[in-house]
Amino acid sequence: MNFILAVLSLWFMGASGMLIAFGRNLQRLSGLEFFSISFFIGLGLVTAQLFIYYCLNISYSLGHVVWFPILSFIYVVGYFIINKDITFLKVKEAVQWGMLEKFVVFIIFFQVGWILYRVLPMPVNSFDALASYAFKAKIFYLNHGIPHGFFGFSEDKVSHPDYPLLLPLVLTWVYLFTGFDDMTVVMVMPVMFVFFLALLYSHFKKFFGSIAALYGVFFIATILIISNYVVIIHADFVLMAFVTGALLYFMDYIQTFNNSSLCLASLMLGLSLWTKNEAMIYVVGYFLSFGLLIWDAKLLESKKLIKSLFLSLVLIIFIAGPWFVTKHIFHTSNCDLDISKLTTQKIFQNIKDYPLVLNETQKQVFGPKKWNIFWIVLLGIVVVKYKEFFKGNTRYLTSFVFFYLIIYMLSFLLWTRFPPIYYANKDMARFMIHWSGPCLVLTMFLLKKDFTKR
Amino acid sequence: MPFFKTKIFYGILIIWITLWAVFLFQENKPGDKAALKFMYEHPNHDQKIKYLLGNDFYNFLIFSQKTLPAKASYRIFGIKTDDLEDTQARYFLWPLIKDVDNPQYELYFKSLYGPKAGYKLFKRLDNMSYILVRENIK
Repeated sequence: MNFILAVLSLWFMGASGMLIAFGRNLQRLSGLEFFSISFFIGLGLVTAQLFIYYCLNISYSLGHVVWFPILSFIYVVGYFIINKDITFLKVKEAVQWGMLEKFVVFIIFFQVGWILYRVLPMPVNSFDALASYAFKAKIFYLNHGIPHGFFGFSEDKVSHPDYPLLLPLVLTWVYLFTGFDDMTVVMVMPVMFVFFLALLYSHFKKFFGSIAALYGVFFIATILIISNYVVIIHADFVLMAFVTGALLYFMDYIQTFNNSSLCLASLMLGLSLWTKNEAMIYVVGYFLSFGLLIWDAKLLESKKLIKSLFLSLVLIIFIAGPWFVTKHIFHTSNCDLDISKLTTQKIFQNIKDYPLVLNETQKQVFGPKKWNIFWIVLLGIVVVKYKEFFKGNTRYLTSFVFFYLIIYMLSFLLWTRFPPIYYANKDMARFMIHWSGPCLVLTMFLLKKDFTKR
Repeated sequence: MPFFKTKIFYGILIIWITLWAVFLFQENKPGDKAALKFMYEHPNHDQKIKYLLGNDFYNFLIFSQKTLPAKASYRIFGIKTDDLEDTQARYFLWPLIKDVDNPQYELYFKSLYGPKAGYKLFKRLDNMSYILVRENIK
C-alpha cells in the first residue's frame, strides 16, 4: 500500500508539473501520453526536491517531503474539476486489431507479468544495485539525507560517488514511504517499464498508427536483456526511457515546431544527465541534430530555430546545471577515465586490443538469448533502407543515433584503468540497452512509408 | 500492402516469438531459478538474505553488525576485493563504514591472516572468523 502511495506521489507531482507548464497545450497530448510522461516528469521533480533539500540541509523524512505530493494531488484534482471540458488528443483510425494483434498484446502483458513474478519476492541482490544505486539509497535514507562529504568518498566507501543521483534519490523517495524495505523498492523498475511502454505506444501511435505502435512496443518489451535489467535496479533502462522519450519529443517538434514538444525533449534530456554520465553524448548528439536542422532551414525559419535551440539549451542547463556544479565543487572524478593517465602509448595499446571489443560487440548483436533478432532485423532494415537515412526528417534521427555509436566505440580507446575488453565485457550490453530505444525509433521512421502502403 | 501484412514481417514475428518463448524461462545466470523458488517458499526477509549471502557469510556479517559499535570503520579479509561478496558486505553492514586504509576494526572471514601489529583480538565467532580492533581504540 505504501509503495502504491509512493508511486502515486511521483505521478501526481509529475502531473501537476505538466499541468502548470503545459496546461494550455494539453489537447496536443493523448490521455495515455499525459499519463505516462507525468510519471517521468515526477521522477525528475522528486530528484529535484530531494537535491534541493540536500542543498538547504533539510533532512529527508516523510513529514518533510509529503507536502509537495499532497499539494500536487489537490492541484491535479482541482484542475480537472474546474476544467471539466478539457479534452486530450484523440488519434482516430479506421483500423481494427485482428487476432494476431490481440495475441501480441497478450504477450506484452505476459512479459510484464513475468517481470513482476521475478521481482516480487526478491530483495536487492544485483552487483550494481548493491555497489551503487540501492546502496546510495540506503545511505541517504538511513542518514536522513546525503551525508556530509559524500561526493568526496573514496571508491572503497561507495562505488562511483560521481554517478548522477536520479535513481538513488528516487529509491530514497520510495523508502520514505515504505520504510527501509529492499524488497519492495525493486518494484519501481517494473513500474517505470510499464510507463515507458505506454509513452512509447502513445508516440508511435501519433507518428505511425496504432498497429505499428503496437508492434514497436512489442519488440522492445520482449527483448529479454531489457527485462533482465528491469528486474534488478540499474540505470541503463532508465537512461533508455529518458533518451528515447527525448528523441520522440524532438521528432514531434521537427514535425510541428511546437515549443511544448521542444521543452519536453529538453526536460527529458536534462533528466537523462541526472541518470547516467553517458547521457552527455546523447545531449551533444541532440544539439548536432538541431544544428543540422538549422543548417537545412531557410533564413527566416533558421532565426526562429536558433531561438528554439537557445531555449532548449537554457532548459537543459537549468535542469542539469546543479548536478554539474556539484561535481565541479566536490571535484568528483571518474575512476575509469583519468585524463592525466591517458598517454599516446595507452591509446595505441587500446587500439591493439580493439579487435576484442569488436568480437564482444558481434557476440551481443548475434546472441539471440539476449537480443532475440532485434539487431539482425535492424541491420537488415538499415541495409534495405539506406537511401532513406538522409531523406527528410529522418536525417536528424540518423545523425543522433550514429553520433552516439561513433563516440561510444571511440571511447574504448580512452579508458585508462583497465584494458578495453574489460569495459566491453562489462558495458557493451548496457550501452546497447539505452541505444536500442533510439535505434528502434530510427527504424520505425525508416519504415514509415511501408506502414501505410496499400 | 502494409508492412505488417507481408510475408517478411510474418517470418520475423514467428522467429521472434519462438526465440522469446524458448529463452524467456531460461536462467539468466546459473542458480536463478532455484533462488526464485526459494524466495517464494520463504517469505521471511532474513532467510532470503541468508540464502543470497550463504549461511556462513550471513552469520559472520550479522555477528559483525551486532559486535561493532555504530558507524565504526572496518576492513574485511577473506573475500575478494570488488567481488560480489565485498559489495554485499558493504551494503549490509552500512552504517558501518568500509575503510581499507586505516580501519578501526579488521574482520577476518574464514582466514588466518592475524595476528597483526597494532591490532588485538576483539571478538571471535569461531576459529577462522574473528574481529581485530586497533590497539588505541577503547
